[in-house]
Amino acid sequence: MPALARTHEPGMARVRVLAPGLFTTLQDAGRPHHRRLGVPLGGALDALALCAANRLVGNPEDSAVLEVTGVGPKLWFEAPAAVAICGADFAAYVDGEPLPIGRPIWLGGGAVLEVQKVRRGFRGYLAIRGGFRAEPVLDSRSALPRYGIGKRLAAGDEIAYLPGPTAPPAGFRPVSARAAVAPFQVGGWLDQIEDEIVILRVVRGEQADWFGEGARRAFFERTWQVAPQSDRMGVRLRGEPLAAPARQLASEPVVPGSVQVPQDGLPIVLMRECQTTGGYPKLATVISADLDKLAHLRPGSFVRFVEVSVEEAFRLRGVHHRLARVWLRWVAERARQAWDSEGGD
Amino acid sequence: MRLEFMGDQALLLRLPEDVPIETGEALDRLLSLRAALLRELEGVDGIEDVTMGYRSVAVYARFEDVAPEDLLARARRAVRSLRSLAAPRTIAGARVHLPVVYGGDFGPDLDEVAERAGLSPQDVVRLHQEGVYRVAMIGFSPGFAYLIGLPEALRVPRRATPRSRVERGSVGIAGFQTGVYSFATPGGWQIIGRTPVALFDANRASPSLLSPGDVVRFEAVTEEEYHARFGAYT
Repeated sequence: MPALARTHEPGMARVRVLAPGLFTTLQDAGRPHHRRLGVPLGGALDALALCAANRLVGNPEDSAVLEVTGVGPKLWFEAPAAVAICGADFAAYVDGEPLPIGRPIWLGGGAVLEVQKVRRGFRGYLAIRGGFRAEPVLDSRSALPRYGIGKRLAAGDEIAYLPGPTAPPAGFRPVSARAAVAPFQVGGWLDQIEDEIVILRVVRGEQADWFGEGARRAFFERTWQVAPQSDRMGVRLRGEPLAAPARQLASEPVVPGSVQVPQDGLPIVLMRECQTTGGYPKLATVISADLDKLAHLRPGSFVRFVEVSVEEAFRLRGVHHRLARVWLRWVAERARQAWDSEGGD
Repeated sequence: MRLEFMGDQALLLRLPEDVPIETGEALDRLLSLRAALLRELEGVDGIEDVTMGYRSVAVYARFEDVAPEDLLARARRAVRSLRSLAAPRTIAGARVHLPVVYGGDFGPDLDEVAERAGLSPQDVVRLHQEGVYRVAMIGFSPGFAYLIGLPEALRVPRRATPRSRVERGSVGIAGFQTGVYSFATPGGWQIIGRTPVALFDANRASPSLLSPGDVVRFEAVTEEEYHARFGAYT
């Protein structure tokens, strides 16, 4: 059994993976303090959805959750569990009954949760009260399978968790014999995911002036499409290639959101799991207020870029951060009230 | 020195393009700069990490906890404090010996490197061991060290077509650089040998064997010695 954690800790229950979905991994807030070792930041690609899902079950914002991609997993819960799913709009079922997402969910022991195909967006986050148990590596439980840390979930895997309340809180609405949901939903955030063309705000990249005026203009005027080779390291774009500079760049640090243009002229937008350094010229950098949107681009999605100043990027970062704090406080408070209502234990 | 923000996530301090990186001149200046930066940033909230490139140092920050202007002012002070030094001194790093099996299955490009360099494979192996290398930066994958100090005669370009998988421990050459693949990854460097030493191990006290400024030498070993030492890291 490829154990992800000690599953036999006293008092622990197991969730068993019946089907892994397209690409499911354990993620938290990643490893911001180990980049000097060449370790990617990583962590949940939609950082806000990670926080929200955790708050819905009463966790700290950075507890380890399952990040699911495109098609989610089918999971069996040994004991009762307090869970929530945030991020993209997935069709979810419990014991075959449709299950609304974006709200606190109580599951009874033996429940089978199936996160099926995504309807809008691309990545979802399944949180469980107490967090999924795994040994932290370099201060984080985020999987980085490429470098031997954690793994991509496979059928038969088991993860330990602390059992949730034995009965649903009074205010919860039953959806099956072994599942009930809170009477409120934290919608709203997904409205940021545009249906047709995703607009990404960028500032000038470190090598923007290496590109000709024509290439710079074309980058902003063209609509780009997400290529299937995209992964947690980077979103590869396709479209009419840009004229890439011939100059050689000595490798230098990069950030998630850096837009690299290799010799083939097709931009790559780096994601949170990107390498810490890169040798391709960078035409632009996606502002951090828009980084979570990258998590919801899927092969075939269309994107366009809009330029803002660095000052504006910092201002937008502040606004985004303050709004997120207010929203997450509200989510945490509503969730607390819901779980505290009589009926649970 | 040029200072610029990387998006709204980090501050990059970059040396002028005419500072040579192959000779170690850029490295010496960056090591001094990094030391000065770390002094200026001591105790400052919101500093996530300070990393190095060939010609630059990046400070990653949580700008909710440190104002961009504050970080910029501190970085400028660090740069000014260096100007008072007549010349950057070489900051001594750790000295590390890496055993290498050259050629054969472990070094599939040894013959090609020899041919391009107009040398015999034996000369390539001898010259590679004679080099005294310095770690210029860590990147590409965890623990991957970019080494400078490759003898001129061995400077051959990358492979025309990158390999989809280069084995962990592979010792490669790309232009003026040599280095060791710390994980099995795709890669385009010319592979001349392999070391049994783990360049990265998340469970070690120092997960990355090498840091910028460290001095590295390579030493030819037999395949038997390779297997005997696999997993060792000293």
